[in-house]
Amino acid sequence: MILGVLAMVVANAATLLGARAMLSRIGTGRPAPDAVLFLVLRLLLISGAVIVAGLTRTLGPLGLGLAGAAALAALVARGAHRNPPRLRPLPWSPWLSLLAAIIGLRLLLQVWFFAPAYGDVLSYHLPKIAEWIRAGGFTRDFGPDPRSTFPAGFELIELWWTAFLHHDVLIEMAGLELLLLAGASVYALAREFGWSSSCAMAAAIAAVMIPGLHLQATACMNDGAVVAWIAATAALTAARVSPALILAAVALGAGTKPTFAFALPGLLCFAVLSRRDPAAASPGRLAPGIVSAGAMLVGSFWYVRNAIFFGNPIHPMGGSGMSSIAGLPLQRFGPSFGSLVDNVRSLLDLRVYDHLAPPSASHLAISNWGVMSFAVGFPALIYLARSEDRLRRLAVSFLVSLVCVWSLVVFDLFSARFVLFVPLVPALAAARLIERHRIFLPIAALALVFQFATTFLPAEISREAASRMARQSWRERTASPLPIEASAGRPIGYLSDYSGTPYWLYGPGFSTPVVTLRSNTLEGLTGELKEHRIRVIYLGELGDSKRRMMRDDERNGVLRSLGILVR
Amino acid sequence: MWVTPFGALWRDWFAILCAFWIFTALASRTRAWPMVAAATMSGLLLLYGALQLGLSR
Repeated sequence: MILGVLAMVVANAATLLGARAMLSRIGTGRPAPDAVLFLVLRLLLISGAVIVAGLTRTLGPLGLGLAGAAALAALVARGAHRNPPRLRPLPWSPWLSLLAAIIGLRLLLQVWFFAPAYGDVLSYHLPKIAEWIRAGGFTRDFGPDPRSTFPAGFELIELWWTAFLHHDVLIEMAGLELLLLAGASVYALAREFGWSSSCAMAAAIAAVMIPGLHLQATACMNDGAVVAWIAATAALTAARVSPALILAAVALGAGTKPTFAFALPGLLCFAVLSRRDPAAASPGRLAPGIVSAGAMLVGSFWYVRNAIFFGNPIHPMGGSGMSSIAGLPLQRFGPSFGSLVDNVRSLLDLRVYDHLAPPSASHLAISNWGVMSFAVGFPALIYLARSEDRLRRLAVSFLVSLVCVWSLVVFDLFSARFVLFVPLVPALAAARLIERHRIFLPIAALALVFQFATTFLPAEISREAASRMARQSWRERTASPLPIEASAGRPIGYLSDYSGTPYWLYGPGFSTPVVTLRSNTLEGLTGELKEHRIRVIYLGELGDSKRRMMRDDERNGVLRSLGILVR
Repeated sequence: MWVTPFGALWRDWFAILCAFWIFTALASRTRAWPMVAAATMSGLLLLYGALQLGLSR
């Protein structure tokens, strides 16, 4: 464990110094966009390092730690550690620093005490991370959920925070990194709009406290990460940095989730509307080009992998979209005006009130935009849209993105999470209005307190589950409501055709091997069980043939006669 | 057909924003605007808060 902590510290120091050294080549000389570029570079370095480690089977504390130590030594030898950036005096009000510190501290506590607890995350985001950590590199078995082959740019950051300790206690740090990027990007947008540092910081805090974004950060979900990449792309566009650097953010966003690409027309619109703004100092073409090429390699990795293994870069999506085994449409292919209308109607009639369900990471039946947007942000936007040109451009561009995203996704109970970038605009507007008219400060403060109070726990973690997790030691902390039946040294079998909670079977330290059982007949299943010496099977969502097989077993008692426990 | 009943308009977020938009277009430079804006925001805050009362877990 000490080796893991040491390796984590060294490797993180190397990425921080490395990002700073790269920033010295491509930076604008302006603190706000440079902060965004710094975070983008760090995430690029982390993603690249994890991909290389995954491909070379060195995805563990030793491999990453040694690589980090070598990189750190080289950077120190080149003097990258000299002239550390001056953080004080902070250019914004000390009250805002205090507020940010309180929010940051609570987020760190949430990282420490939360464990992965959400459907999609347990079903297909994290099982592959567990497999890769166990194998020390990328493996081909992606589990039974077909969605596990979706792009996994965010999972690379999660791997970074799990590989050193061989444990998931810090896995939510990945979400925090992206939340920080979102906050820094909103800050940079406000500064580029010509607003004061205090106003920009207030906007960043309002953005970070958007309930959906805030809860996603500690839920291992990737929609918040997409918002961060959209915000970063918009901020770099507003700062008029080299197009190659904007392309780097676009590539990393596209490698996180295709919904980022759905929002691109709006971002392109913002670039067109901002084309007459003064450009940032040019760092030349070579350094931004190298960064951009690296980001494109990282961002396209998943699409290339799918093209090689499955013959389709967007596997498992096909021309007719994607359905669950129950036949429900999960993802559509191509735009639909009906989807757009349903999503907008649902937002305006119901979801914007956030009253059908408590705040959740999954956005079940709510918009999760929060009361700040609802009560302060949108009225502020209406007022400021006339006088603040650049804010108006951003609002129009995000509206274009909203139209595109909601036309391209299926309308369902969770579809509001795909447009979580929209409330960034009212967050900016609220901060600006308060700067211009102090009369609105108490209302905004009340709204912020309300949002803080309602984001201690996401709906997916009940008070009982939170209390249970808080009592567990960090080594054994899991959100699984029941203990997992594991027989020492033997793998657990997992039988499913679609979604389930296989991630819990590995245990928080990834100590239990899990075998995905693929048979559709009892004969084949017993063969698999014998081959892997499996004594316990967990069931996920079963299709017709596997359900029939298990019904046959209930009648014949084959598995019981072999001493197999079925859960 | 997408229609909000007239009696429900006072608590319809979009309708309130539309009314506020019209008022802002006509009177954003008057001394009354900040007061009306603050009242609108407070009303929306109360509306949102009141709807959350049933959500305590």
